[in-house]
Amino acid sequence: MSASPTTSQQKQLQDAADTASHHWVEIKPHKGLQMIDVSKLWQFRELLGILTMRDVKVRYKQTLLGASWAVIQPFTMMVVMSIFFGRFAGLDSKTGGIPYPIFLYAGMLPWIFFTSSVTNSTNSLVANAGMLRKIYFPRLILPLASVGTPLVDYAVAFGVLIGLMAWYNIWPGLGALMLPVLIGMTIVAALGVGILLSAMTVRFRDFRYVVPFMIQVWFFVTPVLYPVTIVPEKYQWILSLNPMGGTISAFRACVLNESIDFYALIPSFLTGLTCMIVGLIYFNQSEKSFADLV
Amino acid sequence: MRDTVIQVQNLGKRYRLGGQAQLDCTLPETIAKKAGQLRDKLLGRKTDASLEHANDFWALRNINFDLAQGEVLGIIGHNGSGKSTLLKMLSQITNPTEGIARIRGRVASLLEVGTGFHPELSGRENIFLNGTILGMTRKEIKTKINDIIEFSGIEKFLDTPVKRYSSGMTVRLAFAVAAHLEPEIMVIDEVLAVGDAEFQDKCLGKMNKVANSGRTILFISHNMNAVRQLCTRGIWLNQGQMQFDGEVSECIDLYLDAKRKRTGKVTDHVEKIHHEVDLQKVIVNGDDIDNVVLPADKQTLHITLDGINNGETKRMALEARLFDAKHIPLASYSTRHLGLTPDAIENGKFTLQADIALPKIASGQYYLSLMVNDPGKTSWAHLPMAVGVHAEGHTSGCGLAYPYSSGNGFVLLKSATPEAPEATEKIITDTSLQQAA
Repeated sequence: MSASPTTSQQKQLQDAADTASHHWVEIKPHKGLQMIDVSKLWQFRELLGILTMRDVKVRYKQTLLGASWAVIQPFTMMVVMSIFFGRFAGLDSKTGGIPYPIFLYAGMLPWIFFTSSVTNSTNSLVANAGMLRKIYFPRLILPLASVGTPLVDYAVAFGVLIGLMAWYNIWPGLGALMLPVLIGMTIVAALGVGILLSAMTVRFRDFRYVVPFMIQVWFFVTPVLYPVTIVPEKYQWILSLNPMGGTISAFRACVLNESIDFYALIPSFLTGLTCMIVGLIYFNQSEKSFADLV
Repeated sequence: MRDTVIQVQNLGKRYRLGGQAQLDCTLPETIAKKAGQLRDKLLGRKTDASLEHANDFWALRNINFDLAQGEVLGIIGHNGSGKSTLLKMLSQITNPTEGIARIRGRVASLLEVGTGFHPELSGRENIFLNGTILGMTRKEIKTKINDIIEFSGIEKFLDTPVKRYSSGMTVRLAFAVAAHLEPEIMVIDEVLAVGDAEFQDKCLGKMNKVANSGRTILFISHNMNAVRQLCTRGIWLNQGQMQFDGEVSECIDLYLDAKRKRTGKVTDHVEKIHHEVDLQKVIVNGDDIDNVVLPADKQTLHITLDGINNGETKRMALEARLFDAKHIPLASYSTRHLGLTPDAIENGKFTLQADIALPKIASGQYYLSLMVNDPGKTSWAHLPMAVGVHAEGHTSGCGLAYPYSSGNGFVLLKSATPEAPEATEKIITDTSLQQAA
């Protein structure tokens, strides 16, 4: 106990009583559409921070290579895929003069960030079932916090991209200023899908099996391995409805100093945003029953 | 009159049980059900309401109470009586199905010790993690961290990952964090049931301090002594309904009385019995039910056993063994140790008797096994854990009411000096009884 517990406690109680005196919290059955309580989220920002830190800290505990795993994974995939898809399948002739390895790596980075964010946030509620059952906090914190680790991995792997660019002597232009915006768009898309799936996984565990499968299929309809130009022009608009389609192409264009195709980027972003809105609505509606269902 | 900080009006929570309920159903089932509902709606049919209601289960219903600032409310009741559901609703973890609760002030819920602890993180990291989860700010934790570390008593291992801790150490650390919460309203669910006995006492002491500091507390416990000491008011929940709301001692007495009435007979516990022997009735302290309450000042057991011997004359003695709540044997009562010869029981009805003086035993739950033996030769009947013994402990009256709990050992020793001890013991007991009453 501290030296003068009574005075400090009394003071705290007094302070608290002052702030609390007007404020009644109502607990009742919820009906109809609920608004997202942004001020509640802000109030719990420290929890968001510490949960994010927890995942980042725990991620590479007791590993020999630590954070280098964030690099090894995309780098190895880049090497293998460059050989098979780039060289043997002949995709390296379709990239418009960009070396295939860097073309591939620049696409893999946002893709890996997207998929691990979706996977993490989908599992976030079920993985933290204990907290859901015993603690009150805005449940949205959990899927939000699960984006932290992929973001750190993203940053680490980005370092390698800079190295690759130096190696191939490619220098980004003004387009690089768009990068933060694109990363923001990726986060919106990933969270949109993740928030929706996390809430659905609480009720239907089916989604734990759906997600890995969904991501595999999704990979092939996203221009990671190939440029959009290999798709017949009249079908390209379909690809840009994919929330990651236009975003990945734009990301690649940014770092490789090409022009961004906004006709592909904007539909992508709008789909991502729609996912986010639908996800938030569904999440908010089912949030109250998580503790009973999880 | 102090301000009201919690108002609960007509609060209720319904759960759905069974397969076609909203719980644990798969996606296709839900779609089929929703489609069915939609079809019924479109065709103007009524859905089969009775079918749905058959699966409904009200965990809690018609709960009404107000709580003023500084009140310490104990909530007691059987397992499954809705206590935890009530606290979960008041903590906003689950949503009520009907009614409303209004709360004013910062609430901290302690429904479990160590929620969110991560095994890979160090003790220090977990203090911050758990503290934040429980609602403390980073600044608050920083100012209290030394107190927390000191309270937990595990300074040496602070930078070791928690997965290497013993379970006791983890609990200590977790409780140390929880004990330093300082909200206006505290909601606590049975957290004292953790850790070793010494630590439990420490926690109880800390709780006492918190309770006396003017905070509003809602407290669930099966430990009646803790409730009696900490709480000013009691609510007894029974099958989701409020059975009693009022003064804490009265609440506990009513609850314990009801608990006695509800239980079975001692003879229900006969496990092994010789084919020529029949037990008719076993009376412990005046009742044939399998549960007794031992008040602090009357720790004796009077056992009478009626039976029939259908065979030839047998030598029989009533023997008893006392176990603690974890079924560890603590004490034994046997005619052999007392140097008596077992009675020769002839064909026909018989009665065996044992009057056992217990030492002052710590508060808590014990079990009594009864045996009818020809000691060292034959066992005629065995009634393992036949009687639940709830000892109320021995309370001393120095300042705070202090429970004699098992943290100090199961048995309170007497002085070897012949005169003084009995007298002081008597006085102490009297004060404690007054406090309790």
